[in-house]
Amino acid sequence: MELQIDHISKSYKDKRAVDDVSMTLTPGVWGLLGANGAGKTTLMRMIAGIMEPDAGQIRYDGLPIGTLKGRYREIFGYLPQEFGFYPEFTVKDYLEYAAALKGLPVGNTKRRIMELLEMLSLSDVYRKKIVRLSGGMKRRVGIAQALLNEPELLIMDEPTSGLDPGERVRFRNLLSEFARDRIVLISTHIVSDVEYIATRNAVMKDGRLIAEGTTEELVRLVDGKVWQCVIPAERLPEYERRLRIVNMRNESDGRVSVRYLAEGADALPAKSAAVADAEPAGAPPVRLPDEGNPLCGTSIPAAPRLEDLYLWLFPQDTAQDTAHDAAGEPVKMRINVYSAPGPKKGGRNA
Amino acid sequence: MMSGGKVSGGKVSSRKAVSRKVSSRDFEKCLCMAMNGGEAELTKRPGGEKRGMAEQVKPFGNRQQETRLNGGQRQVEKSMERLPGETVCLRRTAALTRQEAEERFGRYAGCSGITRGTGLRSSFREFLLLQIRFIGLRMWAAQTVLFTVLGSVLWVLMGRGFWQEERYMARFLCGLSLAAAVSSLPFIYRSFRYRMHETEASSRYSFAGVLLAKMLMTAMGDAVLLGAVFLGTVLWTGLPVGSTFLYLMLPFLLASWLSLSLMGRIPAAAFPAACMAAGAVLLAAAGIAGRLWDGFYLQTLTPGWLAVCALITLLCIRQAKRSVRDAVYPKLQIA
Repeated sequence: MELQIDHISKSYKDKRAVDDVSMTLTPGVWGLLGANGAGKTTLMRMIAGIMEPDAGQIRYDGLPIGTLKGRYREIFGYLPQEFGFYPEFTVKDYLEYAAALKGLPVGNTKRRIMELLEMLSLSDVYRKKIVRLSGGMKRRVGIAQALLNEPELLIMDEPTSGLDPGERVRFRNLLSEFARDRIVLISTHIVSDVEYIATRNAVMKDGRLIAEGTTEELVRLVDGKVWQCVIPAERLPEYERRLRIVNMRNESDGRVSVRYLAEGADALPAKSAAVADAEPAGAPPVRLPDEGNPLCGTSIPAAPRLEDLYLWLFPQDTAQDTAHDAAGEPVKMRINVYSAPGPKKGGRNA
Repeated sequence: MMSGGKVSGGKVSSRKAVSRKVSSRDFEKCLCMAMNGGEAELTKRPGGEKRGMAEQVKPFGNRQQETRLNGGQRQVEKSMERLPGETVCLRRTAALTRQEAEERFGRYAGCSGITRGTGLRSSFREFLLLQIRFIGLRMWAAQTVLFTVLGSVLWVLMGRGFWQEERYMARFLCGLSLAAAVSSLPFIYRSFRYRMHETEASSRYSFAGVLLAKMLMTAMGDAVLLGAVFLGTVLWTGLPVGSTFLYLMLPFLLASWLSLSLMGRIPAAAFPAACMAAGAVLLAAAGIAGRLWDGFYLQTLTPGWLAVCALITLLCIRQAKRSVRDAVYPKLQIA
């Protein structure tokens, strides 16, 4: 069982939403990561068969999905990014309607709906109108819809948006179990959702696939680029301008522990007098990053996570200067066979 | 298409044996290409015997389905056995037949084990019946209320004499049929308004099937409502049967044709308003025509008018087919 995406492209007027993307999805959970506008939703719509690629082909077990037509859609579950429902629908109506759309016979439908409602903790709201449900419950109804026909291929666009942490954990477990011998593709901004359960991840940027691999393989790409240090709270704004801080935590002694991304330097320059004067008495030495070395003095390497890779590839508005190599040139990452553009010099929000 | 041969359901029919031979080999080669993602070589057994298609096809699961597939294979092999074993590679023919091979393959996959889950699927008829429950009843109820309110208001305002006056009745029927047309088609837009179109488009029947079901429901509802109005008019008013038919059908068909033509050509959000506008334009045109031409509301069903109705019906069917076949509506809107 495999889904081959073969050099597909899609353009909207002057924008190339998906640009020559090729990958082969095999059973397991696949995480599709990318910033807004990276082309994830367009790619998913093409996989779902509701949008035709301008070029390239999508094959399921070697057969073009355009040829399989209804047969492909029968084995297919899809949760769109925007969960829609008719306002008069109760949860029951919605799932029965979805079952009818999927061509499921009425007899089997009821049993399957009850199973899913139980699984997704929706039994209590079975007869409630969807419009009156909370965001998380609505999302769960959407997930139930996608799972109704026990699909071989499950595509979910932002499935965990609106779910609380407990629901997300349950959803992840459900998906892991479900994906044992099926292909599950999840697009999400919430990196931790795919970090733990994804068999493989694909990262998209500007319509192109820039990286693909297991979580461990991808995380290895930011090895030596994730650091943490403790700084005085009053100097935080200064550090924020200079470092790509991905996390900060207030410590009890009035200082701040920061986690940041930077190209690692083998040797730290000597502490300057000015910086030494600024350090509180008895505190570990702290040094501001300089052009040649972005690390602050007490930095120690931190264990990288998938989120760090995501933030490395998709710099947020956190640092004035982005990562540079020793010569001051913008960092370019090379990931597998793809060429991944690194953070741009001086770009605040690439 | 293949040179001189036609492939149909595993059988090869041709005028010339040579062409048939070439076609069947190329055809099987194309099946392999479809299977192997471009690798066109046929697998041969050590003894030179060709390996059957079913042996190369991995994804197919259950016994019954394999049997059906093997049936197709036997048909292909049977046609091969009748032919000498020479191999002719015609790349051009292979390219031409590849598309057909893929379609054939799709059919084999259709009876293969790629579908898990229940395996059983409901028919389009069952799907349509369910659509009536979910969407049709609401639409028809809205239309019934609209018709009843219109009739009641006119009854109160105009009195009993209104219903016996031919001109008034013709105008009334004209307006009623336009209201029927423009009030039903926007129900199709509900998918977009409530963002159900992506879920519907990715379903078994695709958006084209769902659209067809909705159109059929719309047509059924309108037929029942207009039929009831027709009967009521014929039984209780002084308007002749021919006139009743004409003033009910012609505006309805025109409004439907305009609305169907708009579908997929304008943004989804503007569709209901555009349908209403089309209805209003037609109503205004009918009003102006009534003022300019005394006999406009005194027409009856002549062969000429019947031909006009038939022509517009054909245009409606053409537009509906375009909408379903090209799935123009979702294509333009989802982007």
